[in-house]
Amino acid sequence: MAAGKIDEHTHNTGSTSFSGADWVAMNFTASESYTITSVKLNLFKTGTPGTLTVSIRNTTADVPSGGDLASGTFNANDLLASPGQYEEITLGAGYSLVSGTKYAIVCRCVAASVYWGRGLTYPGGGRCTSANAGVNWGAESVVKMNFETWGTPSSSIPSDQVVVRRLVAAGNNKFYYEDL
Amino acid sequence: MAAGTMKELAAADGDIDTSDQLNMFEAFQKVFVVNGANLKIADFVNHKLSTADIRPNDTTNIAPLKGTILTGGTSNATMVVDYCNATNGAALVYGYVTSGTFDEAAEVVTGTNASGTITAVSFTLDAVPVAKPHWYDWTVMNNDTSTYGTMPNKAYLGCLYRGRCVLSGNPEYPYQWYMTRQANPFDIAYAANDAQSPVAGGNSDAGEIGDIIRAVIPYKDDYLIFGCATSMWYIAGDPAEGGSLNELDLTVGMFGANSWCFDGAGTMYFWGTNGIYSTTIPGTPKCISQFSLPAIVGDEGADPSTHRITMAYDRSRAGLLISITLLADGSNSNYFYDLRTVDKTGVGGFFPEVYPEECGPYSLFYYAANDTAYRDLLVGCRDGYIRKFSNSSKDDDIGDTNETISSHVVFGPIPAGSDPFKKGKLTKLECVTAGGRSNGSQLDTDAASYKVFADDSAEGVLEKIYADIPSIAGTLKTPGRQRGGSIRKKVSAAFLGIKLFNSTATQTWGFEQLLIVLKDFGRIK
Repeated sequence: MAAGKIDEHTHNTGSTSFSGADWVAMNFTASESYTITSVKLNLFKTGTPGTLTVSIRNTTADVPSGGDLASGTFNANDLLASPGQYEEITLGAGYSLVSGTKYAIVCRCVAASVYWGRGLTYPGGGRCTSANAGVNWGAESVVKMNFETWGTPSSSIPSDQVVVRRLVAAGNNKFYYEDL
Repeated sequence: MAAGTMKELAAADGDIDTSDQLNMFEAFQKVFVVNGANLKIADFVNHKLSTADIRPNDTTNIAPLKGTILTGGTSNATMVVDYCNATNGAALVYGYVTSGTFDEAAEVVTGTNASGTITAVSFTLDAVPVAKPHWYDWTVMNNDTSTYGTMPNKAYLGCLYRGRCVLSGNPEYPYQWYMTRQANPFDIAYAANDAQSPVAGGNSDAGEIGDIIRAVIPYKDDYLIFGCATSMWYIAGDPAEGGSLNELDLTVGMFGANSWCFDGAGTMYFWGTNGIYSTTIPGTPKCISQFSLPAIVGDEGADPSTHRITMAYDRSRAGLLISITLLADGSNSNYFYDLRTVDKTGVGGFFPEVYPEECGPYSLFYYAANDTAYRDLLVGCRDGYIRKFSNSSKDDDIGDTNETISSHVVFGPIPAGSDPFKKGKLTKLECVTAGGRSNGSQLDTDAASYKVFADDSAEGVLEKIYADIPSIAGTLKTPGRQRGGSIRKKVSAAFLGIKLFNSTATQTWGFEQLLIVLKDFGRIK
């Protein structure tokens, strides 16, 4: 199945820059279960920022946590100048996201500076920033970075219901059921 | 919580007798347990409300009926009633919550029944919530037998057919079957006169008492098959809406409640009067074991009172497993019927297997689990474990330890001479075993051995095979085709039998070809 756009926030009112140890992340809530294979971010550059790395991480208390679940790189020297455009960064083999779970798109680049477009209207998450290369994060839920997530749905037919099929068994005068 | 982890439903402990016949079937997101006098329900969908008095005012209140919508007085939660176990006094009400959360400790719940002289429902809750699943007696609605009929005193057979719960195997009326109202397992008043009415009946020509029913087998919502002691019958369609009762076979009966299965093509297989049969529905049962296993019924000596025969279609391995287990000790005899080997006569190969007694199959079930890791043919074993077949394990799991698998294949008796009057001499035997390519990706066989049995009669070869008196024996060079792998020990006779085998722990084996060279060696005297 071809990858399609699944989650997005495209309202644009400004931008946030990042470089070196200054990282920026955007939380988003997976609207369905799917394998994320790439993201498209509204980016532009100044100078020669070098390699841009984008990754997907879990979140805890609305800030990124743990290591990269999937990641990809992009030569940020190839970015356009302001106002820039949406660039696609592929995320290797991708990662299976679970519907309703909050994840973070984490961005960093080698040198100054890459600018990431932002807006105000996405309800499923907000911006996070780190001044020490992702060791500590601060959440700014009002600010929403632009993004599109692309991937393939885990099921070709979306479902809001979880259908459980469980095993039951009887033995030794007792009744057992699969604890799903 | 995890797939593959079984949890005990504590409320059921001791409520069933697994030393007696027990059947279960799924319907309406519940499990119906049919175990003689123990007719029970494990309810995985409903919420339970408890009250000390379901009808606090006899002149203005009534117990809720199936389908009545109840509303919590303070919580405003709502529930559609599925079942209530009493008409008056202390009662439990089970239903599907459509909104909110009931305040179970003290809330007044109200509703209005759709029919009756008194329709107002009002009662006060008196117990905290209990998590699903719920376990309760399978009775008629409100335990009101005057309105909803009386459940049979005992039943050992059950299934779901066309939205009706079917019961049978009542020792008091072993020829009788009972069907609840369509979409209502709590109504068995089969005097009603509508298309969804409960129904009861037997399988016979008019005026006769029917045959003893040993199995009730639904085939989709199209047919319900009755496997009887000496005959087979089926209902086509719905018995209360134009359905018909028909004979499938009046000369073949069925062994027991679980001695049947369907393959992926909808063909039914069962253990019947003279062996293993296959049939379409409708159709005429054909004994598929009559040529390759003509004496299987006598050889196995299975008795319904002491043995269980279970059958299941293994979707992964494209075959049927037929298990005959002595309930007392788990000793067993099994056949894998390989549908991939079905020949032009429509019959496949039977591969006999014996499992450790701990693994004696009490039940077989192909579990089409959501989690593919657990999607397999499951074997409910005598020792209480649920096992599945492993393609990689080299020994049988018997609990804390493993047991060596002993396997063999026998060829013969093979005429050794070029005509029926001549003997022959085996001058070369070579077995090409599995694998053997250096740096190959396919698995190599472990070691394997051979024995050659020789006699001047075919019967004599069989006797020597059974008595294990080989003329020559040894070990094959493995894996693959080995230089110097030919066995040149010579043996002459009119007939030969060749056995390849392995009985060593943590080993498995396979072979591709058995090559033998024979030369005429004089006349048979």
